[in-house]
Formats: sequence, structure tokens, C-alpha cells
Amino acid sequence: MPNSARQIHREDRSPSSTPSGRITAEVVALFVAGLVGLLAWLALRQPWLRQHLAELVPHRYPIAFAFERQILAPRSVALASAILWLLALLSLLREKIWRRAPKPQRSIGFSTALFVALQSLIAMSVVINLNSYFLRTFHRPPCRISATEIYMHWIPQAFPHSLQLRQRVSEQTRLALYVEGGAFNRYLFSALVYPIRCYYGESLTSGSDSAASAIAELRRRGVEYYLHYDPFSTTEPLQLRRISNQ
Amino acid sequence: MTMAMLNGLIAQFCIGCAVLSLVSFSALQTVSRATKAAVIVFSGLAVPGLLILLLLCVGFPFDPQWFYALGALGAIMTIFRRKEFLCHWQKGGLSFSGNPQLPAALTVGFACLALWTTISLMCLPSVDYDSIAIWGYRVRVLLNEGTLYSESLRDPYRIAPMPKHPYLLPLMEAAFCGRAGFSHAAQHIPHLGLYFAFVLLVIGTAREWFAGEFQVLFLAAMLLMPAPAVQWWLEGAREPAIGVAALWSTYWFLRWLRDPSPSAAAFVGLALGAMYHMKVEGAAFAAGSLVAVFIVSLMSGADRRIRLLHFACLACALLFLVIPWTISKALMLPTTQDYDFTAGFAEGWSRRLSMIPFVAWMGLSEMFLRPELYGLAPHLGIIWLVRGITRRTWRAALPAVFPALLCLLGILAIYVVRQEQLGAARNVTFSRRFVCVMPSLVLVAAYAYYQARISLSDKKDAA
Repeated sequence: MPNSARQIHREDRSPSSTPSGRITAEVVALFVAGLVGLLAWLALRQPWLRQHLAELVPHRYPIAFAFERQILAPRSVALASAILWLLALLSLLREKIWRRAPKPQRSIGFSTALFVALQSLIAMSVVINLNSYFLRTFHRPPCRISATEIYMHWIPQAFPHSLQLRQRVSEQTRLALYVEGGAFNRYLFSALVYPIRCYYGESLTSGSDSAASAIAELRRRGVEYYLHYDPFSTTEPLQLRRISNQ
Repeated sequence: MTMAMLNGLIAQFCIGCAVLSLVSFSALQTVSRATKAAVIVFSGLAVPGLLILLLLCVGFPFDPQWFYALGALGAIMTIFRRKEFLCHWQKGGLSFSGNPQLPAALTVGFACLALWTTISLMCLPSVDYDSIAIWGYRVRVLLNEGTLYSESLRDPYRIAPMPKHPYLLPLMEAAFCGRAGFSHAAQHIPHLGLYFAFVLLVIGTAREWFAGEFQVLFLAAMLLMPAPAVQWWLEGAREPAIGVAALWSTYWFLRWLRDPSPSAAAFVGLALGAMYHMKVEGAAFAAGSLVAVFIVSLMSGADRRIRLLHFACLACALLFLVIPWTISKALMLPTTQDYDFTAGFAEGWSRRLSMIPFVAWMGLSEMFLRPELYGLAPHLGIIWLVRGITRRTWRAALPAVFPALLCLLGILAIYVVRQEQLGAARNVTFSRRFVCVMPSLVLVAAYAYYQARISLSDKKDAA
């Protein structure tokens, strides 16, 4: 440690942070942070307040599942508070039981301990929130959910449709793709069906001279099929045709 | 698949060890073992990634064997330089006798975040749109078709989203998949490596630069900040990866400000190269860093010559990394479906003035009203900043904060333009970008404030 850092270190030794006071400061901080968590739990349980807090961040995801994963859910905060109180209790017991054990050289003050406890409360709440999202949605912890199940949940249209297409054509097929709904769906679907290789199929629909030249270009690249994909169609989302038949 | 992942990890470790063995012990005498471990993890990813990317840019096909070959070369180099390598671990450069015992809450909170990061990255597939449609697609294309020159990216008729986004991370992800085909777990190994490099670097920095309660505060602010742990899976891996590289670059830049050693300059250069090849936010950060290095070099007194020499070396190294990719990008024909992100960016700012307050509020609320992403770290950072900015020593750290501020301004400017072009729907992508700069901003604030306290303490002692 540099000398100057040692000096600051010496300065930090206040009476409240002497070895005998260390555990007390930490325990009190844990208890106070737990109380703050409890108050946050009470506040976040009020839907209007929760909504108001969420609206303070104008760019927050408006999508329900993203919202659920990201904002601190009241139950997660309450659980994290309980963990902090448990830690406070354990620290207290340790102090009582091992009071005569050698103390560490350095200690921390109340404000530092409180910051650490609050930061830890938030970190634990986030992790509990994320895990409970999976428990609530899939009824299993994240490590026991297959990738297919997760994709089925997250991409309820495009993923099953991509599986259907894979059953209909071979892996090395090249197809011209026209997707309803713009670039967002086009890129997603072409990534999901890979290694089936997708080419822009928009210009093929016009029936003009440019369409004829586009067909010629695509045929030169070995493109055999034309796929019109409508993710929201309930009858026939995948309309697959051979290019030569158009 | 397990073998491919294991081979990748061994290769990464060997390359990282070789990089560390190339640096003399005296250059890293005041560097803690945790930081040296971070050197192994970070360099083990960035060095082979950049080298393989260069090979791809000049036309070689992608093959995971390149990664293993570099790993073998690293192992041989480490064996030849084993004395230098072991020296880093055997000789103690720092004493940590005054360290406080860490509070239980810090250990428990960090354990939760680290466990979640490991589980989410090893068990869950990436589900954010960009990870599926852009980045995951690239990994699959690299594994199947082998090269950036393939028709997949050069054919204007082929659907390839954002082909001009840089390739470092997809390449590393593909390297860990090896020849066993695509796997989510293997794809996420580099992300996990970068997260642990972040953790090691934070622990190392805390040990080297801070002491007492301040050390605990810094550790809590950084290690318990949820975003660097959870954003990998929540909103994609590019921005947290840039965040790690930015933190790495800021740390070595601060070291270089104190003592202009070639090793510190080289590590800054490595981070800048890696950042540039990750995404546009990284390019902004890298450009800012290069400007900051130049300004510091010009303004320094006695060691101006050596600093300018380091700047020249850094600029040459970056050009060496940037030019092949720039040429490579220029060869890609635009598809009829592409839209230009930068179109109209330079004009119409007087018209957009009214949108600036809204975007500024978005930025402020992102920093201070999202405890679920950054905890209370930004609040602590701003307290350090306000208390440290009045001190003379703060000015010394100002160049270190410049790259992060430039990157932040760039992000805000993009969203001012987007309000007009794409509307409010695109604002949802705003939050994922802040993780690029937040850790390095907190580090600079902590450093500046602590230096101010040290200088005050020195003055008291002198009086």
C-alpha cells in the first residue's frame, strides 16, 4: 500500500470504528437497511406509487415481461430485507459467542456499513427478482429450463414457425424471404432459421422488370424457393413456393 | 462441446500467461495479484480475438484451430519465460496488512450476483432481440461459413443484419464453440471471462489504490452494482463487454498518468483495440481515450517526450487494428434494404434543441433512478465528484473521465436524433448503453476524491 494511502487509512480510525465497535456498527447498519427494505416493500406494494416511480424513467420497457424482470418487485425487496436481518442476527450471535476471539485489525464505520448493506439489499433483490421470474413463469429454476422452452416463451410466433420451416426444407436450402411486419421480423426470422440461408425477397413481389432481374440474380445464387412469411397469420403463416413457378 | 470449451479456456489461460510473462516484474511491482489475474483473463480474450480478426480481415478463413494454435504458442512462450512469469506471483509487491474485514453483506450480495451471472450465462440462451437476430446469427455464420468474406456478408441480396457492426465478440464466441457446433453455454464463456476480469480488476484496484473504509465503499459500489453482472443476459453482452474494456482502459490510463510506463500504455492500447472492435460506443470511448492521451502528453512537462512516444505507438497500433477492418467494411456492398443510422445526424440541431431536455432527463433518470441496474453507486460517485472537484488533484484525473464523458455525450446525441427519426419506441434501447461508461465513471470519481484526500492529508502532515 502506498505511504499516502496509509496516512488516509490512519485518519479513518475513528472511535466509532475501533475493533470493539466494528460489529455493532455493521449489525446496526444491517438492521437499518432491513428496515429501509421493509419500507420499500410497503411503498412498492401500492400500485399507484409503483406506477409513478416507474414513470419517472421515461424510457423504461413498456413490455410486461421485461418490466417484471427489471423493476424491483416488492416481494424480492422484502426477501432481501429478511436476509439482511438474518445476517444481522448471525453477526450479533458471532459477537456474543466469539467475543474473546482475536479481532481483525481494521473496522468500518456506520455510514459505510449502511451503504454496503443497502447496496447489498438492492443486489439481492435483483437476483431474487430474476429468479422468481423464472419460477413464476416456468415453475422451475433457470438451470432446469431448456433453450427451446425459453425461445417458445419469448418468441411465441417466429420460433415455432422457424421449426416448421426447418421440417419442410433441408438445411442447405436458399430461399428468398418476404416477411410481413418489416425489418424487425425479417432479421429475427432469418436468424432463427439459419442454416437455411435467406435472401431479400421484397423485390420479387412487384412483377416488374426489376423483379425479373432480381429473380435472375437470386437464381444465379442457387435460391430455389420464395417464402412469404406472416407471423400473425393463424391459417398459413409460411407460404413456400418454388421460384420457377412464380 | 465440453472439450471445445475446455480447450478454449486452456488456450485463453496460456495466452494470458504469455502476455503477463512479457511484462517485467518491475513494471508491475505496485500491481496486486488480483490485477495480474485480470491481465491473464482479459488479455487471454482480447489478444487472440484481435489477432484472429486481423487474419480474417486479410482473407484467412475462420477456424477455432487459430485460437488453439495461439494458445500453444502462448504456452511455449510462458515456459521459456517462466522465471519472469513466476516472479509476478512469488515476489510480494504490496502489503495488505491494513485491510478491513469485509462486511458480511458485501460478501453475500456479491455471491448472489456472481452466482446469477454464472447460472444465467451457462444455462440460459440470450433472448434479447439483438443477441438473436444480429450477434448470435453471426456466430452461427462464422461457424458454418467460416469467413467475413463469405457471401453471407458481401452479397447485397443475402439477409445479414448490421454487417458493418464489428466482430470481436462474435469471433471469440465462435472460438469457444470450437468444432462442436453452436452452443449457448460455449457462446457465453467469453462473457463470463470478461465478468470475472471485471471482478478481479475491481478487487485489484481497491487493494492498490484505496484503504480502510474507502476501500470497502469502492468494493461495494462496484461489485454490488447489478448492471455489470445482470446486463449480459438481460439486454445483451456487447455493452457490458465494452464496460469491462472501458474500466480496464481507465485503470491503466490512470496508472499511466501517474507513471508513463510502456506496459501501462500497451494495456491501454489493448483495451482500446478491443473496444473499437466491439461496437460503436466502444469506438467513441477509444477515440476519446486517444485524444486524452494526446492532450496529457502535450501538457506534461518533464516526461513529455516519453508520453508523446507512447501516444505515437498507441496511435500506430490502433491504426494497425482499425485500417484492415475499415477496408473490409468498405468492400461490403450496401443492400437495398439498409438504412443509414448516421443520415441527417449533422444537420438540423437547431430544430432538435427542444428535444435535448427530454433526453437529458432520460440520462439523469437512467443514472439516479434505476437502483435495479446501478444500485446507489452513481449517487456515491456524484458525492465523490462534488467533494473532489474542488481539490487541485481532481484536475489530474480529468483526462481519465474525458473518454467516458465523450461516449456518454455520443449516446445522448444519438437519442436526440432518434427522437425525431424513429420516435419514442426506440428509447427502450437507451438503458443498456449506460453500462459502457458507469463503472469507469465511478472508478475515476473514487480515484479523484481519494487523491484529493491524500493530498490534504499530506498537507496536514507537512504543516
